[in-house]
Amino acid sequence: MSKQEKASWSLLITNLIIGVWYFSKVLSLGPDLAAQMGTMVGLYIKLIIVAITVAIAGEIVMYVISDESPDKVAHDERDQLIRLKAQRNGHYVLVAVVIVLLMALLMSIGFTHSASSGVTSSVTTALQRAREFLQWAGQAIFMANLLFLALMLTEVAVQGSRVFYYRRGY
Amino acid sequence: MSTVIRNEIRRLRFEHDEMTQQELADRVGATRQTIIAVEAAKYAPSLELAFRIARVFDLGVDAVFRFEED
Repeated sequence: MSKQEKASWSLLITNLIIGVWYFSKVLSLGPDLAAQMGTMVGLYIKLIIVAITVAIAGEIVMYVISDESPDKVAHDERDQLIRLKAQRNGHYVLVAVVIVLLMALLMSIGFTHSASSGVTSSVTTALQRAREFLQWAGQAIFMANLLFLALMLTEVAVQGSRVFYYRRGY
Repeated sequence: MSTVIRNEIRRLRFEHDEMTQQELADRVGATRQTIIAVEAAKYAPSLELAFRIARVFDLGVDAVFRFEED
């Protein structure tokens, strides 16, 4: 197994572990994420710590289980082609996920507009502003999670493609 | 239409003092995995790498590689 393939395996497993861990935590918090702002901030900090820990652990495991490669060059033209092809696949995944998210957001905006169009009250009390802020914060956290999901799926696609091309032979 | 670049690298390695894949890889500046893939016709090398491999065996590119059209 070449160094590049080892790195791809390490990154693929790391991404999957972090993604599953993070989104299982987020889903367990329920739909009202804005009400749990403190928990979310704590989760983001934990995410960074877990990501670093898992990445280091992955590197150590890959180093221990694999013997030192005798190759004089770390990577060559085939590695570069595989990397480019994998990034192209990752691009396709990113575009597909972004299109799905855009459609979902546009549909949700449409529903929100049609649901609130009957409300004609223009009262801007402090309570209402606070509620609007919480709504906005909830949407912002939701959007951040969706963007994180898109990036994670893209990275999984990239590293998965690299592993596939190395294993299948390219 | 699919095309395949076949080669004589395996035979040539054995005719050159049973040169290992690693030795060939080191001499042409590639990884052993790439040499394995080229030998198995799973990867078509660049023109530059093809020339480098052919030069190791003191042959022309067309004596090492051949183009087969399916």
